[in-house]
Amino acid sequence: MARRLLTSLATIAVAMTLTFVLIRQMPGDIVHQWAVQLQMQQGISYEQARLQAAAMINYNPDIGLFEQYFSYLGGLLTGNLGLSLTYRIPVSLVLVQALPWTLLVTTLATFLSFVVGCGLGLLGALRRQSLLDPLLTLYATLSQALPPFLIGLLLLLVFGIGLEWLPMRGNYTPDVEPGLNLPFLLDVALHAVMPVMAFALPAMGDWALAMKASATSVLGEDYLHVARARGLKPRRILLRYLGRNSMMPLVPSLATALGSALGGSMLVEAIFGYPGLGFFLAQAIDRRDYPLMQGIFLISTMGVVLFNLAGELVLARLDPRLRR
Amino acid sequence: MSALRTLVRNRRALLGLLGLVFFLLIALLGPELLPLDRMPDPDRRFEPPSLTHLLGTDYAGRDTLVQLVHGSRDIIQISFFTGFFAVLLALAVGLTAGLLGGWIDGILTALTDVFLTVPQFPVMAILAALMRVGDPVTFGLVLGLWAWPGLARSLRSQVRALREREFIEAARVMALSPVWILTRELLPNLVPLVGVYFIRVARDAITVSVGIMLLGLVPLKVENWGMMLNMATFQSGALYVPRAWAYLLSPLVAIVAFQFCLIQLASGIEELVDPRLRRRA
Amino acid sequence: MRTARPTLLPLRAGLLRVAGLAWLVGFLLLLVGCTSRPPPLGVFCGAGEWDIPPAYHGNPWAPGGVGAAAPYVYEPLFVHVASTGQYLPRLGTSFTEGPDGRELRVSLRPGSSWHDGTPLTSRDVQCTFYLGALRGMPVWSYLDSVECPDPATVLFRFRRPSPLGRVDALTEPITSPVHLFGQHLPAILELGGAQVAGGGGDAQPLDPELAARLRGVREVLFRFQPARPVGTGPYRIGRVTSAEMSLEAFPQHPETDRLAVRRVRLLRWGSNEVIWSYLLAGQLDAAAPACPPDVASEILRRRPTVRMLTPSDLSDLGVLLNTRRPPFDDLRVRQALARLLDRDLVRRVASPFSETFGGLQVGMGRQIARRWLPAETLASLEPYELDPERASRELEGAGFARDSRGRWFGPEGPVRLELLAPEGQSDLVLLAETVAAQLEAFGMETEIRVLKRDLYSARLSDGDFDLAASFGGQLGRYGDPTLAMERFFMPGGQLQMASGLPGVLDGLDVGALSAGLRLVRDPLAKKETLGRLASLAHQELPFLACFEKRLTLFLNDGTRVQGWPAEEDPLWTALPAGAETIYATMLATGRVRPAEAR
Repeated sequence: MARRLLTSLATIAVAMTLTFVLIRQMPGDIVHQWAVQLQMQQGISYEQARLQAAAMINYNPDIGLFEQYFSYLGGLLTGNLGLSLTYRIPVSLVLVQALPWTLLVTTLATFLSFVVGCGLGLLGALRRQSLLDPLLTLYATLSQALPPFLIGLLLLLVFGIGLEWLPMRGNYTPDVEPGLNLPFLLDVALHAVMPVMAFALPAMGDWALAMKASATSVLGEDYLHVARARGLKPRRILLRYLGRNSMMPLVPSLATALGSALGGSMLVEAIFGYPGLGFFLAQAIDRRDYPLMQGIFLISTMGVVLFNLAGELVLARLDPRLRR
Repeated sequence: MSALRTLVRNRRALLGLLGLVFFLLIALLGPELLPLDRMPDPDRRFEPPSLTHLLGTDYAGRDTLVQLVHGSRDIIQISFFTGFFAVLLALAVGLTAGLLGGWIDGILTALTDVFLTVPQFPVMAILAALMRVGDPVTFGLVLGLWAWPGLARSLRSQVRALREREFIEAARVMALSPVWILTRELLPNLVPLVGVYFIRVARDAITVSVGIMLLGLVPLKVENWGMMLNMATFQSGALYVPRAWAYLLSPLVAIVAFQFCLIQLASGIEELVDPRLRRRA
Repeated sequence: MRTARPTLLPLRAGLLRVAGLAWLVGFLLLLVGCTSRPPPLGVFCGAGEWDIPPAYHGNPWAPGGVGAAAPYVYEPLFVHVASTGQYLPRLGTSFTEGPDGRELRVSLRPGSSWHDGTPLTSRDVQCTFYLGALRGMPVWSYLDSVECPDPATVLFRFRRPSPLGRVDALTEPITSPVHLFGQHLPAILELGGAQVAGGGGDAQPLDPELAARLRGVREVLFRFQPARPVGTGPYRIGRVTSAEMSLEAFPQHPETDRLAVRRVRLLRWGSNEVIWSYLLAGQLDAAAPACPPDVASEILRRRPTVRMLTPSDLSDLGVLLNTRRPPFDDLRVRQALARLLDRDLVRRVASPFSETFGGLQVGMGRQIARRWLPAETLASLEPYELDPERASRELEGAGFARDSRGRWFGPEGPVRLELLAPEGQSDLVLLAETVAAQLEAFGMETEIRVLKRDLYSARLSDGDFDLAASFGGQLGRYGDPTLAMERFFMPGGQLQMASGLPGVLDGLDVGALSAGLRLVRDPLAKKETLGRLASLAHQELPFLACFEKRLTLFLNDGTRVQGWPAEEDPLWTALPAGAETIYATMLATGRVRPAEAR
């Protein structure tokens, strides 16, 4: 167990180092990004724009990669993720403020889609010859064939513009007082509906298909016949034996999905103007804000690795044969 | 031969098979029959379907059907190669890790995790600056390189679970060769998982290839189905123009139909390799 | 053989039921009267960008500060309408200029105060400019000092008098009261604004010691992050979220009685699709996104109170040619390209509302050229007309030939072109596509690469492309073609860098000539220089303009606010310099007022 944890930590360290090097090798550095923008806006020469850009973010470009890396590592050990180059506030502050919004939307969406999707998949496997099966496949293909941005925009088009039921963007309106009061919570819930749907609608079909495939193979197993022969109630067989055993292969995927959900989604959050990690990541990439990018990547890396580990542990508990 | 007969006898698999053959034919012959004319004719933009333009026209007044036909070749190749490379890599890593266990498993799992977590975007951006990708095989490889870790993880845990199962243990007790165990006992059990994953990767390849196009790693092709959707949404605003429904729907329906066929065929193959399913059906 | 009994499984029949119930509750919640409410009558709804919380703050100098609220919260001394040469008074009431242009004296509006109640004095104006130096404010290339002869008068002294410098000085928003920002003043005053702004505006690298010292000062300045900006403008910020910002009237503003619209709601821009959505939903009162014609007519059809104006953007869009490498290093090939492209077809696909660009590739549209360039220059240039046959002849003359399939071959093999376009700018992407289609039809293989804006600009400044869809000449906020010529010819100018055009053409040092253009005060001399540069742009063809861009400005007149001026109003000509400043001016002067209830 300790070894697995150690491997996970090593994985995180390797991924972090790789990311650190990679993002700094991207074409166009941070001063360049700003300089080009200024050049465009003010029609000044590139050198002038670079000077101005460097002044704008007060950036010293003369620090070497190694030096940066080690000072970053040093900071990391003391829990300091550095200062965002473009916002000039601690990266950890951005993360702390953005993570809850991402978590709200993505975990809700993941659980919702997992539960509903698995239920549908199970039904599909049981009624292989009924109409439900092709319908399910059709839904899954359709929802997946739509690229995520299109789903988001379609939701906006229907619920925001057409029906005018839901607020189009943001996490809450400036009219409500943030805090523990009903209007605020309602407002937050309303604002979360579309982002959650944009995540959950396509994922649901995916889970359903995976569950169907898994349940189909479990259905052929002998112990189901045994259980039936033992005269167990059909419902008990369905849930305890079939459901549980077919869900097991899905646990790693669920863990991965939950883990990567921590990083949020650049596309969905951009469309709904939702201030989660994905939104900030997109901004950070555009402007080459290395510390902020690094911080967000670190969170999603940790999310994926640790959730995968957790997935394995859960699986081991669920499947006694693996405990040996 | 009996395998093929089983496949044909299964109505759904047959449907999938025929559908795929149809798509292949379109991809092979279509571009020869319907030449692609990229020249815009702005006065005829967003025309609804008519006899001259069976699926209407796009934002620049060009025939949608012709674009769809020309895009099919790319789409089929890219989807296939991406799925192929992803599955290949995943099988190699997942099976090795699951079967061998021990420190090899540890390393491979860590590698999988690293690939799962290192962000794609910077890598693609760097690649875009370094190289120009043109052919579908390389394209598929670039996409497949990022698509395998999920399957590898699932395969590994599946193999680990299967390893402990009665029939494998029985085979081992009977001193059957590992190759026999692998091909006869293990792989058939993994087919449903691999099949579903292959389809998922092949499908995502269409969406992801648009993202890659927008990084400039591959040239923009407006007849790529995914790109058609992107053009319909962002560049031309067809999404907001009721008259343009045909242009928005055509690539969508094509993508869905293509995948629907894949899935039907896959479920047919599942029944083929898993005789127990045939018994019940 | 029995399978192990379940031990830990949380899935029970109840769970599914709970999930179903949760769905139901969610949907009921939606249906029970929780429909989104558009802002009420009398609230102006605009759009713009800002850094969202937690990054948002009220220090205009530090990254993350103020954003789209700036034109509502702050005021410049004057609002400049370039087409008429008018200066509309805001914080300043009048100005006088010395005969040699070295002195500019501005009187301040009496009774002005900051949002925290402190009265405004000339010291605050001075403070703004000196803090700007710390951030490399461009006006310091001309300025020598800003002085305060008395609390109601500001005196600008110029080292290098320039008409553009005067515009810069008069239109800069005044943002920095001494009582909040004064602590940084002594250090900057000691060094002098020009020095601090970057080597006297000539972009010489700073002495490292000085640079380090300035970084230290900036560090302290950036750390000052009040929650809200303190300005002198007609509005104050209420609350800011990731998508919306609410502003309210500042009751102590000296002209607050003229302000009929007391509340403003700003929506964060995001992308053009977002703005189309807001417009379709009727939630915006003024916005000018790039907009395809069919989306525009859909907006107008769904929202009867919305009308659309198409003022000029004072810019042109077209194809940038890389003169560093084959085939476009050869002038004959560039000229052939100008004759083979049907540029009006490009316009009709990419931006039908825009204006046809004539055959004169002088870096500015026809109207502007007629006003700014000598008539004899214009008459002496041979326009590039659409003539594919002549283009073919010219290419053959340059050593190119066609193979049996009609594909062009050059000295270095078949012609294969790479055409870049920035993602998210639909008019440029469509432009690229139409150009590529025409080149393909002509027999030149052309690959389009659509790139994220950051990668696009990196490739452009590295000169790593053949063709690029791009902005060409831009008049910007000065409404003056100087900017366009700088973009084309000045070393480090955006198009110069990308196209790789040499600094000396026809024995003329165009680099120095264009860089000195800003300082030319004599209109006739300026016209002559502009003429020489413009005719070189036409001959050398580093850029091939396809159309003169027109904006698509949507105004919602009568839903929440009304009174938007008609298309002819000269104020709209200042739109390219900053649309929000114009909306804010119209609100501040009471021209736009709450709609009458129906």
